[in-house]
Amino acid sequence: MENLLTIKNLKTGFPSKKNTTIAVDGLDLHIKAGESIALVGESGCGKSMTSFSIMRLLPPPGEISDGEILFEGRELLKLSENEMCKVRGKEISMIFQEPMTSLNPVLTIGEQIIEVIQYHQGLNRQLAREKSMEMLKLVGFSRVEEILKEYPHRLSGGMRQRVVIAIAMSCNPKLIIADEPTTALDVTIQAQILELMRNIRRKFNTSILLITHDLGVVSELADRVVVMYAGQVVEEANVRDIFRKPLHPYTEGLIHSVPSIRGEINRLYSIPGNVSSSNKIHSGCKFAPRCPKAFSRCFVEKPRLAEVEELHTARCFLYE
Amino acid sequence: MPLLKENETVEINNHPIIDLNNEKPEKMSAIIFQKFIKNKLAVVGAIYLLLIIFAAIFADVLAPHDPNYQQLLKKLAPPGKEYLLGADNLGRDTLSRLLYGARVSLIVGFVSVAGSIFIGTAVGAIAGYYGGKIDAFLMRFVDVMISFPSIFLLIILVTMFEPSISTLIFVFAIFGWTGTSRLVRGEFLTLRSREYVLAAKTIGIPSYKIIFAHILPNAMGPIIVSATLGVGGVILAESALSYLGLGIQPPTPSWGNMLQSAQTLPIMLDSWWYPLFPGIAILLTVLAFNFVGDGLRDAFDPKIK
Repeated sequence: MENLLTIKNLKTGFPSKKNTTIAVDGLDLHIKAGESIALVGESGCGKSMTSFSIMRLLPPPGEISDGEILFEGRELLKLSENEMCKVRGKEISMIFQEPMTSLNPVLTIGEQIIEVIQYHQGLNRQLAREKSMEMLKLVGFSRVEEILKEYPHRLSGGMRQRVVIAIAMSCNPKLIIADEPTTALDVTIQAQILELMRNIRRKFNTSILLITHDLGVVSELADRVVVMYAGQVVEEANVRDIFRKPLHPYTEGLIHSVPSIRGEINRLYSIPGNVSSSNKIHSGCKFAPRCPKAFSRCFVEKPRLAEVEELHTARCFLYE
Repeated sequence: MPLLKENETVEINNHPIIDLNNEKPEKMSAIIFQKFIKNKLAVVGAIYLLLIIFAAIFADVLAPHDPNYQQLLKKLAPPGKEYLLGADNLGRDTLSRLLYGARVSLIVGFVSVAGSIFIGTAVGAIAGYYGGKIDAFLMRFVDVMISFPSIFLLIILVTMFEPSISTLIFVFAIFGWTGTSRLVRGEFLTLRSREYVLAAKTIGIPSYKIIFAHILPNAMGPIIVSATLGVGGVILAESALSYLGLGIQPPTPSWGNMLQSAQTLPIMLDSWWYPLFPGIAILLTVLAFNFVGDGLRDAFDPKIK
């Protein structure tokens, strides 16, 4: 199957006068049409910066220094800003973590959703209004006429996230980047939102790039999991394989860190140390200083991403 | 003493989540209005201003005399039956001239503030949104404008061009926008990093729409406040210029030039009513604009309940 999105050797950093802070360090990623990928990792591992690189909306002074991002065969990094505006929202859209802050407080829901539809689809206001009511129905609202006139502060967190999803879906994008879409919601609402995203995906065959650190959400929504550490992919596999048989010690640690209801009550596992500052020049594996299984070679050589089993790759010397 | 007796519990959050069915959506403007009317001074100011505006609009109906009709025999007549607020040094009715003068003062005030708010908002919005070099360039330009000896330049400009209502408006608009631009820039600097702005970018909304349709409405409060205070300031400045003889030229009445013709000592000592009423008109109107501006500031501030 043709890849919808292919990222090759993406390098993103934040230059300053002295040096460049590297956020993404040679990332390769591909998403097929209709596929749902989860990008997993700790805070600061570069997963959000990957998504902003795809949208070309890196917070300044961030910039992409190398690599290419192909979307349906088009090189996104070479598009002009105007062309990019046509991609954003229409081909790729984004859902944010905080539904409280990602809607404009002084504009009604209607103004916000109708604007996007008008802008991208060139519909007149009446048609755009009808389309937006349809979208709101799709995400589960019943009294859509009233919702259009509401301001965001009048809606609950779950309702707002539904509105955000409706806006993101309103132009039928081929890819949705969901940056921690359920983190700010309580558990019952989380389940509803995940259910909604699953249904939308099934209905429209939309690909999803899910960015999260919540492995529960990953198992609910993703087909394939990409684990990132310090700006690099360290492991990639189908969702079942990742949970059943994690290869990389970091992935193992992540899965281990999830509290479980079953089993005996122990002290909750945590991976020692922090994501190391990517400024330091590492000789060897970036995870080595925190790795329980590290041996002498890990500190000297840089491991490559290698296919260990079929469709299961890892960046670790344990498997070379 | 403990706040709660033994066995007493406090129910937290016993208010149910507001069901949308039960309550009509409350508009932002309604909330702001409710907060505004709680401020008594601001309400008094607003009522006074509405009266003045009404009086200015219907000056031809309300004025008992032609404002320019001179009855030299009655010059400097004290307040009385024929001239409610007295007559001026050329025997013209002060009340009628005040009413027509309100027109001039308010038109100059509102139009020049509209102009300066427009320029200031555009400059501030662009500087604050884009930041970096554009911001640095525009703000240094603002610094230059502020460092200009503006009164001096104002006087030169007014003497170069014929002093008329439109010249005055132009001059006030050209020199009045710097404060607004700094204010708007500051608002944009904080607002541009809000997540909803990023969200708007991710759905492909172009920059000009983000600036004017998404961020600007969020900065409207401070802009309205600054405009309200600005009108008072311009009325005061117009009076000062007219007083110097560089503002509105007689016989067109303005509150400032009414004061000008009253500035000789004998008139001030013997015919106190002549300078008093235009002075009071200016004072009260500027005060009212300031009260209303303060009231609006509080009403727009979400931190003040």
